[in-house]
Amino acid sequence: MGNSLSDIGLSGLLANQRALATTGNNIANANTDGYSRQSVERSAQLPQQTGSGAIGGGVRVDGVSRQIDRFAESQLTATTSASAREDRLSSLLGQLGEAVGGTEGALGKSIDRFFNSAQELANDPSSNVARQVVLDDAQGLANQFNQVDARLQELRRGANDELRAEIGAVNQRAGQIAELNQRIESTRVNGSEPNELLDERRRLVNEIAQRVSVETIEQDNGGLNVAIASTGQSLVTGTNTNELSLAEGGIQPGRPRVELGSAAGKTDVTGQVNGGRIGALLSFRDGALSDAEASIGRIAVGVAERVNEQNSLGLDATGNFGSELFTSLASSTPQVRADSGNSGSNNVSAGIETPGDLEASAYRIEKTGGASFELTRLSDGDSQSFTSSQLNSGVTTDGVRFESTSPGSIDVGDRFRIEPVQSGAAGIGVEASRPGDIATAAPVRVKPSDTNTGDASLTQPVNDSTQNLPPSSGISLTYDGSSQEFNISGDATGTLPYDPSADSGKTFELFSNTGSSGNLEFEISGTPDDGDTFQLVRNDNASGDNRNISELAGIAEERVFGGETSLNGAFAQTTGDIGARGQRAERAAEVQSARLDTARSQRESVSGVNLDEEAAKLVQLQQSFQASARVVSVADEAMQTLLRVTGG
Amino acid sequence: MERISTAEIFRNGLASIQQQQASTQRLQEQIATGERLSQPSDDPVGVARVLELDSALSANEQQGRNTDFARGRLERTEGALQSVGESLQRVRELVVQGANDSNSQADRATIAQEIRQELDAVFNSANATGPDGEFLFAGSKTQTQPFVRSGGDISYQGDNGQRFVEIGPGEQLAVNDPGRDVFMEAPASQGSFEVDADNGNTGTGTIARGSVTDASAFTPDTYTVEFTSADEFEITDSSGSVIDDSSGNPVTNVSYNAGDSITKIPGVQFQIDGAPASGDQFTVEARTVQNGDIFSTVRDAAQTMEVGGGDPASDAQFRTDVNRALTELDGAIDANADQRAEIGTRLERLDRQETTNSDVELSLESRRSRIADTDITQAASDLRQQLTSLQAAQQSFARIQEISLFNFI
Repeated sequence: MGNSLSDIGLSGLLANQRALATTGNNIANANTDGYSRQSVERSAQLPQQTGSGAIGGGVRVDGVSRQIDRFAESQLTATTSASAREDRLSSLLGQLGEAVGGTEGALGKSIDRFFNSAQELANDPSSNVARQVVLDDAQGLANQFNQVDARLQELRRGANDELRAEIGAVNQRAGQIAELNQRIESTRVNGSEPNELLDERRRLVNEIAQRVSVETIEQDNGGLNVAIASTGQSLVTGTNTNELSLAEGGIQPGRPRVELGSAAGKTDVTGQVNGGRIGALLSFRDGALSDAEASIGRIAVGVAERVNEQNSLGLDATGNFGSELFTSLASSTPQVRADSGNSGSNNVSAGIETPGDLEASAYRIEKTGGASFELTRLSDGDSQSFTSSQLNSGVTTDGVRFESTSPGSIDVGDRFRIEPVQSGAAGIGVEASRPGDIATAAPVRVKPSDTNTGDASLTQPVNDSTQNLPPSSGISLTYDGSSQEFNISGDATGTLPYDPSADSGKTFELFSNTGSSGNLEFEISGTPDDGDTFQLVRNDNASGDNRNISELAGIAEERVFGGETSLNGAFAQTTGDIGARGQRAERAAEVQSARLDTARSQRESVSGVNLDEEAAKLVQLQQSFQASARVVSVADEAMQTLLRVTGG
Repeated sequence: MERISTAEIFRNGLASIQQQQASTQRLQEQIATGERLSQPSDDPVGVARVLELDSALSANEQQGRNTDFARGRLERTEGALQSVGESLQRVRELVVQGANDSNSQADRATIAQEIRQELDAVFNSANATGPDGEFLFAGSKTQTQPFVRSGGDISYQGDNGQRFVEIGPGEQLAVNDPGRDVFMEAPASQGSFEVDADNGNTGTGTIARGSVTDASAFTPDTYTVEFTSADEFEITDSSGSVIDDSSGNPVTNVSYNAGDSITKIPGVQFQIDGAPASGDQFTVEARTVQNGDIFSTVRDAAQTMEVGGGDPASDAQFRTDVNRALTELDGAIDANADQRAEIGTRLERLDRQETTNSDVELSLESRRSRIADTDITQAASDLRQQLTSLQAAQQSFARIQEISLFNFI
């Protein structure tokens, strides 16, 4: 019968029904994440040629299609990664800021408290109570370092746990995408468009993008390949997947590597992975967190070594040279890790020589040739080369001495990672147990002879080592007026030329004056008479002498690191550095979040459902549907009329 | 025309409300705590600066405690020196009183006893302790009693250590003085020579020490003033040769006038009084140790009173001894006054340093406050503005989501 009116009406009815259903579906999915609005594609049926011309054949439904903009989709994926990274990084840096003490700076306050107690003891060096307070505050300071370290390690563990979870989530979604690729291909083969599957796949890609930056390439058969950005390694290829995994151990404990691959082979992508929360976690763990550990560790080493050094220069309550107040960190703190890939003998060691020269960095030693080694400071990549024999006798850089007992047995290509200070905050503790262990007095004092007639005087001597000290029988300086010099006798020898008119106020040294080791410094001023004598004697029973503890308390003001930064200054700097990184991340997060909003509204402007629009369509389609129904009923009435006329 | 999805309208509306709420919350917290900085990333440079200022404030506070300690120490020392000064004054009065001829030997014995009591008082002051039981004048041997008696002699057991306390950044103040300097070597107010009358003198002549008039002209030696007759004398040096006076004239056959100041030895002057007999000798001796021992000074004064006079010769010796005791006492009193003035100077320095410290504290506090504290006026006004924005965001969101085409079909 061809294109009867009822057929035409019916096609309109069906087409509008489909369209109404699609609108209904759009309304239902208005709030579904990743849903792209759909629309019915129609075209006019081919007309039928009749004698009186071509008569249209009604409407045909070609299919239901998604409204998408591929560029907006990929923009959304990219900005999702960037925004998720900065978001996570800024909150991690916030936690790090809190971990080292936030704006309160409890560690800095403990450093102050310790040195203030030392000063209090300097006021009253014979007080046992004041001595006990110094010990208590030393313990408090060590505890504070240990606590900061515990919080940093907690952050490290947390970051690694989170990495593991995020990697699991990426792998799971990669599997789902591979599965969807398969279903999309087969649906396409059957001739229909798998709209919901495509939306779902894009949603999964964006979920992966929240964790790590990805690149996607759509295949002709409808499959989608997903690669981890800037690694050149694919995660999903068609229906196959590779897996991300976390490799424990290796040269850097507490820093498992991220690997990508299958059981057949894996590649370390730790350095290349960026974007997303995994990118944030890696950047945080191997960057800010490691730097903070090194900075805090360096301060701990500085406190322990400098205080111990000063305490060892003075006399304790028993009149002996003081010993270690804090646990010595010089030899115990440096950690040397041999790379798991090393094939030779691992015999590299490191020790701290000059705490003031320390840098907050890790180092790498690599054997680069038959008898050559390269030492790299990892904070700035600065490197220098050494020969085997140099390394064998010890090489000192940044206050750390690197040494190998047998450089020949290390294989070329073998690597060692050295962390000189990183475990300082964990290792610091109080070694002294008795209040009397604190060395308050200097070892030597000047005793002018009672029979001196001149007006010369000597300042109390200062020692920078314990060599030749304290003098057992004393050292006499007797002035010879004719030759204008002091003759030294007793536990030291030599002469000190002294011309009162030229040398008054000048600093003189003992021991080193005759090339002997050790050093004792004092100033001579005034005019001695011939035969005037000054005795340098052991400072016995000097319970009231505060010279050494004054020096110890003065470490608080001392520019301990590189002659530039005090202990507390280094701490303030560390807090400031972490804050600056946090601030940068916060600002980046704001920028990225704005870009994410733009990308999302661009995608939404094409693919999102607008309910008013759907309402208007609903009214429009309803009217068309009613009109088509009317067409069918008119056709029916026409048929009835015809039947009546023909007497049917 | 830009399409906008319904979900986007809701998301945007909500996001702006949340953002406003976060800012409001931040401001509310700043006002409530009074602190502008809640985490290092708020102002990294500011936070680092605040931590450094905190450290400086803590050092400043400790210096405040140090000045308190130093003040306690110095005031105790001042107290001990003051009572030594009073004892010396009293001894001087007693010596003057005892020198009066109206005293019997018994009176002088009583006076001597009183002087010995003052000696005990000086001895106790010299062994004074600080608030914490440390001996003030023991140098660094603060647990060792600095002065001990053995027989009649008092010896020093301390050392010459001096304790310095940090009262300001790089400012050190001595808070003790070794007892040797204070009591055993009181600076040489006695001058650089002493005089004595020979024990074999038969006349009633007494010699009193005057002063050094020109130290550079004085040649240290032991000089003998010998009376060649009752009214003429000559002066010889230790080798026995007659000396020259400052004009180059030999000092021989010089006529004697009782009580006149004698300036024949270049650089010094002294007096001889009374009636020396021919052949009487007086010595003028340069002191090898220029410093004096306060305990010996007082003890000598007591001994002088105990020995007393009686016959003309011993009376003359008594006069000479009294004169010497008085000069030594004057020297000790001067030295004591000097030491107290020195303590006073240190206390003044403490006062000045305390003022400086509190100025520094104020300045540190205000710098800290400028960085770390909330500007309440500013914050309150910001909060009001923020609340208005929040309200506007909420109202507009409510109005927009009310309107839907579905309401009309």
